[in-house]
Amino acid sequence: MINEAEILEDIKNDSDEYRHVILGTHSFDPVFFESILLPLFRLKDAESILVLSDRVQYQERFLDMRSAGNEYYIDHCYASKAFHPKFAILLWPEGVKLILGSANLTKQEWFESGEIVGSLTHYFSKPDAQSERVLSEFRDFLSKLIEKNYIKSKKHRSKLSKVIENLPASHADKKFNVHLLHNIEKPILSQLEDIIDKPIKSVKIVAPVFDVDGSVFDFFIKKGCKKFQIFIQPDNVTGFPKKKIKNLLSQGCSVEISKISFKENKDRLIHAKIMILKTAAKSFCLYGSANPTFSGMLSTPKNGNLELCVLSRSKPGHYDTLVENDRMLIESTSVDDAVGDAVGDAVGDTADSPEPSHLKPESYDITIHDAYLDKKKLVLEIDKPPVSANIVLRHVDEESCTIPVNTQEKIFAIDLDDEQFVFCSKPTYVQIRLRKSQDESNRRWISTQTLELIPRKSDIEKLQLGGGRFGLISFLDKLEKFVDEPEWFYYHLSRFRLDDPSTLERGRRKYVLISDDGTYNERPPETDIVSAFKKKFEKSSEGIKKSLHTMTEFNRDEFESQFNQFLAWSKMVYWLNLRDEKYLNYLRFIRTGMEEFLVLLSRTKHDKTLQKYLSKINFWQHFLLLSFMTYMFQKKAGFLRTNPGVLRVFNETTTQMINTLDSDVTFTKDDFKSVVDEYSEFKNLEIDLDAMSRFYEDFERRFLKF
Amino acid sequence: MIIFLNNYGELLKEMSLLEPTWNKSVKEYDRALDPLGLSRVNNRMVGDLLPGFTSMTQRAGYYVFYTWAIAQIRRKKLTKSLPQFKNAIYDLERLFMLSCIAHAETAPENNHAHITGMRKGRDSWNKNPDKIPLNIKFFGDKLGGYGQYYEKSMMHLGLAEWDDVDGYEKPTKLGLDMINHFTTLAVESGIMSQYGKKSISKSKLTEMGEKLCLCKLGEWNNDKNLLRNTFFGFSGTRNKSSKARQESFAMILSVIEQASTQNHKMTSQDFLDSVYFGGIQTVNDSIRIIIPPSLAELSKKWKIVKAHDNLAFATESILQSFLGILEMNHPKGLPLEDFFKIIFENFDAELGNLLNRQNENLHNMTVRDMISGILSGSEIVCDWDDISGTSKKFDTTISLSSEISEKSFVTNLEGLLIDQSPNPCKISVNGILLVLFTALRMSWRMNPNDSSAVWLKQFQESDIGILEFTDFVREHVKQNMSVVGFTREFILRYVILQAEKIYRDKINPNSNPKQWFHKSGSNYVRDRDYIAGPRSIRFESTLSILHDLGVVNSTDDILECTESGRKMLGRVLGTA
Repeated sequence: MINEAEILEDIKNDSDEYRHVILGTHSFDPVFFESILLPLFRLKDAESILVLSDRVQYQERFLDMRSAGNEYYIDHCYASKAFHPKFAILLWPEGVKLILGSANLTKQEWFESGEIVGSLTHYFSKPDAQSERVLSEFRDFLSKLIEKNYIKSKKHRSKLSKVIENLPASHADKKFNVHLLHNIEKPILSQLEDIIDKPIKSVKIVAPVFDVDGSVFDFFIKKGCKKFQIFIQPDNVTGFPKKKIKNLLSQGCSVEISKISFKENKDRLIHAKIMILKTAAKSFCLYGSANPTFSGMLSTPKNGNLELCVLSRSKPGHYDTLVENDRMLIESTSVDDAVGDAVGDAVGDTADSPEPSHLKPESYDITIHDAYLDKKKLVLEIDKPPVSANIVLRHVDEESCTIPVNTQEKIFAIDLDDEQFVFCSKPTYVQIRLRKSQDESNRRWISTQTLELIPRKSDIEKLQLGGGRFGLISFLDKLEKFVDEPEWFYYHLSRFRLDDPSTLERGRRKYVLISDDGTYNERPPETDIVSAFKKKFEKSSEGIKKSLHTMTEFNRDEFESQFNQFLAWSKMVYWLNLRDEKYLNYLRFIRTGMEEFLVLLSRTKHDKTLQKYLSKINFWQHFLLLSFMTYMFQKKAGFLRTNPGVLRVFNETTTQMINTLDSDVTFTKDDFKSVVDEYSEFKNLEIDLDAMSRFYEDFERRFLKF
Repeated sequence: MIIFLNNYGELLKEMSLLEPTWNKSVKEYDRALDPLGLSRVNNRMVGDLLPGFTSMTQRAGYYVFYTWAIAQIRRKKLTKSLPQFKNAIYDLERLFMLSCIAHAETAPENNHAHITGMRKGRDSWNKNPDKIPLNIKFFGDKLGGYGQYYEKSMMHLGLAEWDDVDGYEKPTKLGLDMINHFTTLAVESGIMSQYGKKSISKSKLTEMGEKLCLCKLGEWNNDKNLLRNTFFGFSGTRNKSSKARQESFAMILSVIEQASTQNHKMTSQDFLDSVYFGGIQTVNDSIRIIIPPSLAELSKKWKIVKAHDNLAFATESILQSFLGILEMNHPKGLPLEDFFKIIFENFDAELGNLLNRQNENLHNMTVRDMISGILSGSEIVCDWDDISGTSKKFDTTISLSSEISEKSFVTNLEGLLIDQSPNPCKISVNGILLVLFTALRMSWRMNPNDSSAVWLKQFQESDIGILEFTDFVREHVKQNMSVVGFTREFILRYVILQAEKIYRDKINPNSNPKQWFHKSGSNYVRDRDYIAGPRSIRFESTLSILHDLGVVNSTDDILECTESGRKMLGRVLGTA
């Protein structure tokens, strides 16, 4: 009997959304990741995706990455030998999923080789002390990566922090059956010793990598254990400690060696690392990234690998079936027959192999620790200023762009011109070439803002919660960036319903998820977009009119709904006007909408509940601001000279508004703060409150006390 | 919640938190057979030159049978909807297939090849002593061999057309005219009286087979003549497709005729050589082939097909040798640099052998030097400021009778690749020379004013083909690059990166194709073997159809035009 987990299916099915994704791996297969996992995460609306990899592996597959920095972030993490953890943490508003084990982020290890994995799904609404404990241990692991400065990039650290702040904190006092062990401060086996406080009677090991010194065996011998069972694939084992085992046998220890394979596929590589330990009354299973080597189990990252494992406890015999079961072929062998004299390298596990010298950081005269875009600035962090150098930006297809710099700073920002900025819109990596020596730094993918700027389903959900009014403009801005064909974009936009923000989802999915499927090769249906928007605003205006006219007494829910909608489409009118003067005429819909509200307010003037409510929602501040902003748009378009009649009509509405306002009401600048803030999502709309104060000076009443 | 399955595939829901569990291996599909995406352009070109059939539509008799079946379904009102139509055509095809099998039992000497569903039918025939059940599932496609192979071809030929009202096909007037004789025989055979029955006796099938077997098309005279005229574009709609098919058939007949008069049985490669070199290589000699002037334009297109095949064969041969080297280093794999070391270890010597320049140091020889050396034997001076001019000289000078030509590299490669451990260095040298020679020959034609280049452009789309290869060679010749440098860049770009690109195009969250090789760290690791060979130009099915139509006589030893074939050829060329 053997239980099997389908990691990919699990990720596909567990949640419709994964907002933050962090993956840890030693070796990284960009083709697999970018073709299989990345589209999946995109479909799940991931807002940030960060891959942490081993430094050597990162450099070896560097040029195989096609969307690094743009669609996902990738970084290498410190360890004096290898960064070796294999994990995936997926976070969404309702829960979190953690998968960890021995499988690196490669197709071979996710789909083919024999790996041991464990999974945990925790829903925040269903507290579970054991899950919370493990997640708090994982939180500690991530926190330590930041604390120890193992990840240099500020941007990537912030992504880690985002996940950390959403993970549960510790349940330190209780005794649990499952522990997550990392070796950032203490070797794995030292921690195991702390947890298993009874003598260990026997140890069963399945692993592809050992060290010839057999240091892990020494550890257990010292603890009094004299019984070992070792399971290996002779053709795929590295560093098998023959000499040590012979010594142990001569000392009277029991060491049984067996060949292990899957019956249905004897060639299937077993990359799992399992250690089953037994005390008199309990059985423990240690699995995860660490091989039974000095670097893996007896070191910290300062002198070995960085590792992440799980130690779980159960009744005696519970874990034996993991190794000895009807799917496995186990053949007993002797130490001499187990492997030849050559100790060769194991396939797919180079954690304990010597590092290629050209990839060591010290081989570079200068090292780039961080590279990211902050708006139009390229921010770089280097280890050894000052430098006089050329910053070389490159794409995989070898297009390049060079920027000369002289800097004294470790962290410095380069203002990119339009051409350089556009260059960085494709996945771009950076390298520094010193001007004097022509020596080059390491290469590093530039983390851009593309990922943050992808419009998400959650943005639409936020819009829905705010009645369509909050976040509308930043959503439209984000979506607009994804659009290659403006005709299609405006076509979809003119068809979305202002009273139902969820209608934006269709357009979003089209642009964000399947933007490259050729759907937009054809032109959109012949439509007069400007007229289509006119109809939309007319319809909205009619809706407000109908609703407010039939409101004989104040209905808070209905009023709130109409007010939100009115503000939403007023913002949209401004947003369109900021792009094209063709929409100037539509400012009139703001005026007519305001008039409808004013009619209702005149009718219900003495309703104190309403007055109180108006104050709560900053109703008058919004209206005063709308009148002023509309005027500013008209003024900018030259209406003072060309359309004084239109201005006069608008002024009449403004006068009507002022007359409806209670005579004793006054406003300070502070009263406008939150209202002005609401409009801050407009990128090129500045609201000058002093100018607004001057605008209202032309009207008879003085209600602004600025 | 993680999905846990036990070894019987049953779902296990109750698992402890972070319970250690084996991962399930995920199956890869390995049907993808075009590792470098080089067959796509070939298929599009050949589809344009030989429209109306594919490499799987090998028997002309099916065009008559299926037209009759569609007509019967309508005449007897057997269906009211597409699903019922599918069932009906599947049932009729089963009866026809079993009749053919029965006839193969009594007349094994006749041509009973390529009967759709034959294996399943014969199993049933052998298993059942008397009655054959009529529920045998003989094809995955619900429309049987018709849906799988012939449906589109029949529409293309204008024998059947889609009926928007009914939602399934109907025969055209041309189709109905073509089945007169078959309809009479079908009535005589009683096939329709067996339709809808649960089983059929072997004796009844034998009786039906005597009338209706595929091999009897020759006896359905009028039907056959009309079908032949349709294939040759003398009946039915005249359009671009029918003209292309007519001319390609004429070209094939013309080459068959010229080769057979020299007692040579033409093969598909001979046909391509004849359009590429204007000749055919025989065991001891070469035969000059004259392309009829009216087919000159078509010949240029077929020449591109051959050039594409040269480039594809060269590139795929190098891929095969790369995978061979990786196999020897399995499972750890090899860095790319080590592969290049193996290739370049004896590269100069192999190059010297092929160019007959054994005693020279060729390590730094440039592509220009090499071509100049080859052409100087014909007293032709190369002008590298005019690559098109040099290309044209190359095209007119290097022929089948030259000491070395593309033909010799193809022959060398074919010999090398069947070796148990193919020599990667020899394969690479031959492959690269095949690429260089082909690209140089074609380069002068690949200009925007040349009709064949314009024709090719519409099929190349975003895939790679002659246009890109010739540009690549031109660029490197301009840079005066060494042969070694060129080889390295070519292999990197068109073998390694191209295989990775094609794989990336195919893999997605719902599709897990098997790779040819993958990277593990900086090492390349083999995943599966590849055997390089020529692309299909539908030659076998063309011959099979022409044979069925009585235009050629094709046996194991002979390939010749029949009298009828010569007449058709004369009719197309306007010489009859």
